[in-house]
Amino acid sequence: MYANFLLGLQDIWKHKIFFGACIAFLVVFSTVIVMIAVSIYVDLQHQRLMEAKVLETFEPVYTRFDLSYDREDLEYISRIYAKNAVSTRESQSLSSSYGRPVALVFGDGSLINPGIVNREGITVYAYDTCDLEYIEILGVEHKIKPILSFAERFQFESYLSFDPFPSPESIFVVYQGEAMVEIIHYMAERNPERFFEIIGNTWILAEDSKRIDDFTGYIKNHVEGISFKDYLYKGNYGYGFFISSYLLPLVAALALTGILSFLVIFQGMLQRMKRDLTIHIQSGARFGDVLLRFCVFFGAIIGITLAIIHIIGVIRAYDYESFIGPVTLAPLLIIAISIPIYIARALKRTNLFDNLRGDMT
Amino acid sequence: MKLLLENVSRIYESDGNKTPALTEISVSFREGDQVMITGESGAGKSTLLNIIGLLDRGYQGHYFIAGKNAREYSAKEEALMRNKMFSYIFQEYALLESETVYDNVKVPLLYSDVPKKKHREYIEEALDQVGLSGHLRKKVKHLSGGERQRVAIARALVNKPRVILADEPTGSLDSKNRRLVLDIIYNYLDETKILIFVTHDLEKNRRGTQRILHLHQGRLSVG
Repeated sequence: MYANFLLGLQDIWKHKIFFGACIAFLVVFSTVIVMIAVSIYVDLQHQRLMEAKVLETFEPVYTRFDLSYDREDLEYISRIYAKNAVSTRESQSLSSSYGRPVALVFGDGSLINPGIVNREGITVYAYDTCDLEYIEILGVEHKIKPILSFAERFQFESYLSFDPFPSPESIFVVYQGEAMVEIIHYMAERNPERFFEIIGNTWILAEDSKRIDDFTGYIKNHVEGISFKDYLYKGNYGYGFFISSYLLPLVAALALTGILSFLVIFQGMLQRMKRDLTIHIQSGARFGDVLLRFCVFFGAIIGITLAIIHIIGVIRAYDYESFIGPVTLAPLLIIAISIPIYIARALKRTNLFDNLRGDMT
Repeated sequence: MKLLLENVSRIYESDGNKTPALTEISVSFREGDQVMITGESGAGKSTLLNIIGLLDRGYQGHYFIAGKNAREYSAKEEALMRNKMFSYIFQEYALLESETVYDNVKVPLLYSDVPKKKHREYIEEALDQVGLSGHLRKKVKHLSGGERQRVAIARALVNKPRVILADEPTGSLDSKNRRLVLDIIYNYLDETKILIFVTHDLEKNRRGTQRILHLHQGRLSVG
C-alpha cells in the first residue's frame, strides 16, 4: 500500500505537466461554474422579486447626449425617496478603501433591510458580522450601527429584503433629505452618468402607485435628457425564460464539455502509462494496486485544486450562500468518483499485454 | 509442479472478425523442463506465453497449474503467481525507461512479501548474477541493448521464479551479448525450474537437449 502511494507520488513527478494542466483546468472550470451558479441565483432572486410585484423598477433611457437637472430636481427626487422608494449604488472608492462592498443607499433603506431605520442625514449600517465600528466618508467619521444578522435577513418578508450587496461584510451608507441632495449633486457634478444610474436603480413599493406616477412623471417632464420606456418591468422580466432556455443548458454543456475534455486528456496520459502499468501487472501488481496509484494522483489534483480555489477566494467570495460549496465540490466529486471507475473499466477492457506488443516479436 | 494445457484455443475478435491465434493446444510442462517453442511470426507463440503466464484469460479450454484449474484462482492468487512463480523476459526488454536500474529490478519486490529492508540485498544479488553490479543508479535509457536485456533478466530473476517465460530474449542482441544472456538464463535453471523459450532461431539459442515444440498457424507439433 505504502509502495503504491509512493508510486502515485512518482507518477505526479513523471507527469508533472499533465498534473499542472489538470489543476489549472479544474480551477478555471470550478470558478466558471461558481460564477454561473451565482449569476443564476441572483437572477432568480430578482425574478422572484419581479414576480412578487411588490417593488417596481424602471428602465430609463437617454433622450439626448447630455442630461441636465437642477437642485430643485434633486430635492424633488429626495422627497420621492423619503419613503417607500430607494436607490442604490456601490461606492468604488469606499469599497476599495475598506475591502468590502460599501453601498450608498438613497432613501428608504428599510426596503433593503428591515433593520434600516429612516433617519434624516447620513446613517451607516452594517450586519452584526461586520468587524468595523467607524467609517470615514469625505473626511467625516461615522459610527456604524448594527442591523439584522446576515443569516437572519431573509426571515423578514424576503421579497422586501432585496439586498443588492449580499455580503456579510457589506456596509450601507443611507442618505435622506438634504444629505441625499448634497451627495447626489457631489457625485453627478463629477460624472453626470451617476445621476442616470441612480434613477435607473430606483425601486418603489408597487402599492404606492402615486409615488411611482410622481417619479416617472417628474423625470419625464422636468429632467432633460432622461425618459422611461413605455412599459415598466413589473412582472415582465423574462429572466426565467433566459435562465431555463440559455443559462442552464449552457452550464450543462459547459460541465459536460469540461468533463469530456478532462477524460480525453486523461485518456492520453493513460495511454502513455499503460506500458508502465503492464510491466507492474506482469510483475505481480493487482488492479487494486494500479487504482491506488491513480487515486493518489487524482486525489492530489483535486486536493490541490480545492486548496487553490480556497486560497484565491472563489468559495470565500460567495460563502454567504450555502449552495456555493456544493456547487464547487460537485464537479470535483463527480470527477473523483468517475476517474477510478473509468480506469477500472479501461484496464479491464484492454488486453494489457498488447501494451508491450512493440516490445515483442 | 506441473503446468497442463488441455485443448486451449484463443480467438481474437476485432471489428466483428474472428482470428484464431491458437487452436486446441494440449501440452504439459514439468519441473526441470526446458522447452523451446518455434514458429513463424503470428503463429501464436506470444499468445501461448501470455496464457501460461496468466496474462490472458480469454482462452477456451483448460489450463491447470499444480493440478488446479487456472480459472479457479482469485485475482489475488493470480497476481501472487505472476509475482513469485512466473517471470517474463522480452525481446525488447519491457523496462521502465526513465527509471534507474535499481528501480526497474525492484518492481517485482514491491508486490512480494520480501521485507523492504531486504530489497537492496535482493537487487544487488540479481544484478550480480547478470554482471551489472556497478550500474545500480544508472538510468536504463543510458544503457546499451545488451545491458538493458540483462537488467530485464535481473528483474525477472529477483524473486527467484520457478517458471521463466522467455520471448525471443536474444532477438535484438549481437552474438557476444546473446551468449552472455543465454549463459545467465541457463545458469539459473535447475531441476525445480521450468524454461519456456520462444525463438525464431533454434540453433543459436538451444543448448543441450531441450524439448522442441513447433507452432504453425496456432497448432502445435512436436519437433
